[in-house]
Amino acid sequence: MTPAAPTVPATTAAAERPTRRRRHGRLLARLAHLVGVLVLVTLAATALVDLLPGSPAATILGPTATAEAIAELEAETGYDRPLPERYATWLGNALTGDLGSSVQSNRPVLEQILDRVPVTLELTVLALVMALAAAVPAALLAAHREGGPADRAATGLASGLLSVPVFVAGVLLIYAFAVVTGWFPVSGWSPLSDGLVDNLAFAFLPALALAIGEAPGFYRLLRGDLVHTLHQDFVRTAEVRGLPRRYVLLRHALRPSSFSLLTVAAMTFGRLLAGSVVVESLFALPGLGALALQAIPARDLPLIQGIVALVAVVYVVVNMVVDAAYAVLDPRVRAA
Amino acid sequence: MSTGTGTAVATPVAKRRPALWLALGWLGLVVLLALTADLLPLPAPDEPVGAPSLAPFAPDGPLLGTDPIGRSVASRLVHGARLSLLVGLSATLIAAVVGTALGLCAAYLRGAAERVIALVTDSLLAFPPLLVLLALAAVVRPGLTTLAVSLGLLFVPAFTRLSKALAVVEMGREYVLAARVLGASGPRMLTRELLPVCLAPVAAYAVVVLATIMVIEGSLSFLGVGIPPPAASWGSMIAGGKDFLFDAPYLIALPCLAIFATVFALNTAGDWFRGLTARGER
Amino acid sequence: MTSAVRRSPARRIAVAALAVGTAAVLVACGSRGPAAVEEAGPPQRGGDATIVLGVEAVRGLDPAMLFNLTPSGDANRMSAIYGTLLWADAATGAVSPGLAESLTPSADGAQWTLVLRPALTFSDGTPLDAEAVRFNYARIADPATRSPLAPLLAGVTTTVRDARTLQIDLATPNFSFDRVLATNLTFIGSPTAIAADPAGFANEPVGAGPFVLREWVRDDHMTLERNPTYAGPDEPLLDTVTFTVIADPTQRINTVASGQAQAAVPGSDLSFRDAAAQRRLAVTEAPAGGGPTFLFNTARAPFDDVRARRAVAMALDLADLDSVIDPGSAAPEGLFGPGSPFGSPGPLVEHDAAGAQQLLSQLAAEGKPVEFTVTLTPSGLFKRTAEYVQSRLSTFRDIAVTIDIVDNATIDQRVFRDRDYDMSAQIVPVPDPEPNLYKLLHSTGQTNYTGFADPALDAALDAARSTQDTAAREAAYATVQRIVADQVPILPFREQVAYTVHRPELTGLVLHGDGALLYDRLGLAAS
Repeated sequence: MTPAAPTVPATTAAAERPTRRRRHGRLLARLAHLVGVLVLVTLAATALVDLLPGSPAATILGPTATAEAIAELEAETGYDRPLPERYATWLGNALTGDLGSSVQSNRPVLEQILDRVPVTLELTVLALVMALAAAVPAALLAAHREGGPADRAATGLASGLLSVPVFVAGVLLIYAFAVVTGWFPVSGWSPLSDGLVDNLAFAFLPALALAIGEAPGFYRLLRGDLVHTLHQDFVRTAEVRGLPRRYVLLRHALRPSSFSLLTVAAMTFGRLLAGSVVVESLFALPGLGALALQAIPARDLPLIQGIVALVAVVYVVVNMVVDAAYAVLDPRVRAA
Repeated sequence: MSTGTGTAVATPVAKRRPALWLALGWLGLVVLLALTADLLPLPAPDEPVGAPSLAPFAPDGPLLGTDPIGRSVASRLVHGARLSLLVGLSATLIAAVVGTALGLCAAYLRGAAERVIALVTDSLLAFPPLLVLLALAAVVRPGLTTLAVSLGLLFVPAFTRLSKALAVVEMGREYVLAARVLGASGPRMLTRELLPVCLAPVAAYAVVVLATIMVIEGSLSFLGVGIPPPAASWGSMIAGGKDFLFDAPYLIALPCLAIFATVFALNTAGDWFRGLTARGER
Repeated sequence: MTSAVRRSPARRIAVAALAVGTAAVLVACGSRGPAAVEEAGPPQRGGDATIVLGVEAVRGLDPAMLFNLTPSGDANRMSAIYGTLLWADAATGAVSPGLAESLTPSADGAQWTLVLRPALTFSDGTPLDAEAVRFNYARIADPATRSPLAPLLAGVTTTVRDARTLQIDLATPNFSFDRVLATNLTFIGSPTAIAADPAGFANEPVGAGPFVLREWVRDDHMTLERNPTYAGPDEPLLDTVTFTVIADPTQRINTVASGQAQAAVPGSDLSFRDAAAQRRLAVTEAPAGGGPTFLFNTARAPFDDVRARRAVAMALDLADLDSVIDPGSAAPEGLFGPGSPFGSPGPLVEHDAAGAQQLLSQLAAEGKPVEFTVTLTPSGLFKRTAEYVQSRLSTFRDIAVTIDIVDNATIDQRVFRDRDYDMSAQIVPVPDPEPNLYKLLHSTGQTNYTGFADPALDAALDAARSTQDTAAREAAYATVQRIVADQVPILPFREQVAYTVHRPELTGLVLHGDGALLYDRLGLAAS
């Protein structure tokens, strides 16, 4: 399941930025926020898994197990304890770096997650780069002549791509570039340690499929912000001064228009890092999404908890970094 | 067609008249079909009408062919319009209303309330959506309400961030400060001063969310948490046609086109509407 | 009915299946030129083969913990690492020796003697002797192990007679125990390795099979090397076997077509055979009995009334159903499949729309309308089945069908454990009525999820396993089919064909159990 980018439209994000005063206080507040998100998210994960039919013990013992056997195992593993108690135990262990072991495989959760991170991370970075590489020039081109043929074509294409689910795009890509032409492998993964060329060959199509899903959102966002910025006084002044449109677009308009794109790209980064279930299962990639897709039907609570916690940490940290990046992007933020 | 702020100046309406009329016409048609689906001379969406996977315009088949189960694609598209719009609109509405309310409150109240709201929205964003959907579907049987609520929930944070950012800017404006000094009440400030500023961008963004929701609703059905069969939605029709992509591409192409046309039309109409309001403001 | 050496028939079947597969490909690709599929030469020693499966062995590969013994799941991995003591042909159920030389019953069928091949060793160097088999079975039977196989060994005692001979005493006579052993108790792990790390063994399996686990990257690949000390009936040819996991069945076939892999197990949809043929691949298949089967919950309304079950069975035109849910597949032949000596071919229940309507109206008039929910998993085949059933039954009066699509863990809980369902379905391959049909239909059966209990059916099933006489077995199973056709606790709705898609140069494919390969036969032809 890959929700498309929750695109936050153009905002004068500058206004939301903090002032420089009490920077340490802010950092502390940020850390408290991170801890809060972590607790909330992992607690919710425990509670939600509890709501699902079937228990970890039941999945361990299989469909033919008796209710007594399941109850016995639940007592043994502590799954029959009340939710707050179980959560407290998990949290205590997690704080000491022990995320427990998978219910299904008995392997340490941390080890399993770390195995998957490189795949998903590389895929996420590649997909983001591809999506931005397509969306930014397209948006510039479209904003350059608003309402012109390029604008209409790009906006139409974006609407079109927005209406194509990732799994359809993925299947078509595989058919065209792997089955018919044989340019890329059909499925699977080759780790970076086995050579860059092989690695990129395997990563290209899935990353492209993901990028196709994200690019329309990026495009629409940046185009809207660019158009907005281009109508503002300081840009008009620059044009009146006789600076070429292209120069104005790149030097004056692009930077102040990139805030929402940056925000959304960061949100997308976090979401893709949680693993794209659809793309990973279609291309048979050993990523985090595939891991989550195994863990949830198996009610593998420790594994679900581990994934959820990791994603939350990454998400919050990425957003902190983006906040810092705003200041670098636009001097006005620092002045504010 | 921008998702930008309300002040974005649209291309003069006259230049895009045909596109606009097409867009409005399509939206009208979809809404009309969705409303009158049961009155139309179409077979029921779950009724077998012929051999499975008949191509559209086949000589002895129904107009738009049959799906892999042998049901009428035309009927499923029309009934799908209803479900897709219902799920899409209600989820978007939930997300927009709840999200904007939270965003405005955060911007207005600041302090602890802002921090709590940020905590909740960030947690929502950081949480795997799959788990939310599966859990909700397990507790309440999957269905229209479950889907609308859970999908709506997923998009709440985005609206919160958007409206908060807009409202914070507005809070700094002199007339708002003045109103405050003059003792305008909290609710009054929120609804009279802050809300109107957010409406246009929120509406523009809602179009994107609507399209996204209509598409992902379909990909959910392969996990068993989408619209429960045999009901049809555009999204679930796409998902159901996946295994037949090469033998019967129209099974995917038709609902994809329907979503595309709707999104495109909403954009065009939205731009026109923004153009109207922008001129009205001047 | 001993399981003495009887290898050739199975081999012939496999070769014939390969030929059929090849012929089908040739026909399908006839217009594209004569060399569509190269004639495979004799296999050579050496080579690497990659085999694509559908599900990762998430729980590891412990022979006591067989939960997903499907060909696209763990059966192929188990078969390569552990080999087989005995194996049952996937089409006929005929049992052949593997690491065991023979398994012979006493005159009353209550005592069996297992004789192992000489000089069997696990890949850790320890011997696979009678004691090792005893250890494995004792571990399965031990309640602390929580093995799902424990019921198969309830009341069974094992005695080591000599290094190669194990005496197995059953609680009740069973002339089909060799089939039970060949399908569920055939994998033996190294007792030394198990004792050293009982919990970790599943992730570091040590067997005496034709291949040894070298590397395992979860959800990606598992590489096995030829076991130099393998002492089974054939000599493994390949240097390495690699299992990869691809969830999407079409992608599994694409991967073989592109040359990235040599074989794939596409799973339960038979329509992928056509996809394979279009891509000029060979298909080795084993048609059997059973297959995807409807389960009716006979313990509660509406299907506690046999008329409701009959009505649904009569209302469905299975040939039409199969052409919709799985294009290119056929309706099942009787209860036991086309090649079976048991039962009679043709539909179990004749399609009779008018008769079905009559029963439905009758039930509605009695105030017992047939309103039910069909609970299935979201796989393409089952989802289409649910939608087909709902759609076709909606053309009848006095019937209402609701569809409930839920994930596997929910099915396990609702259908298999809580029995909180009306109608569901499961894939039950039946190469021989034993052991799967016994488990499914006998009132004490391990997988009797329908809650159906019929003394006459129990008697017939018991009679069949207590005799070695072919005629007596035939008579008993004729009774079983007659009762099932009359009472309809279950209804197989599509033919069962286990199959593997492969490149023509991969040879020696023999399907056993539910459709896994024998890894000491596989080879790559010189190209």
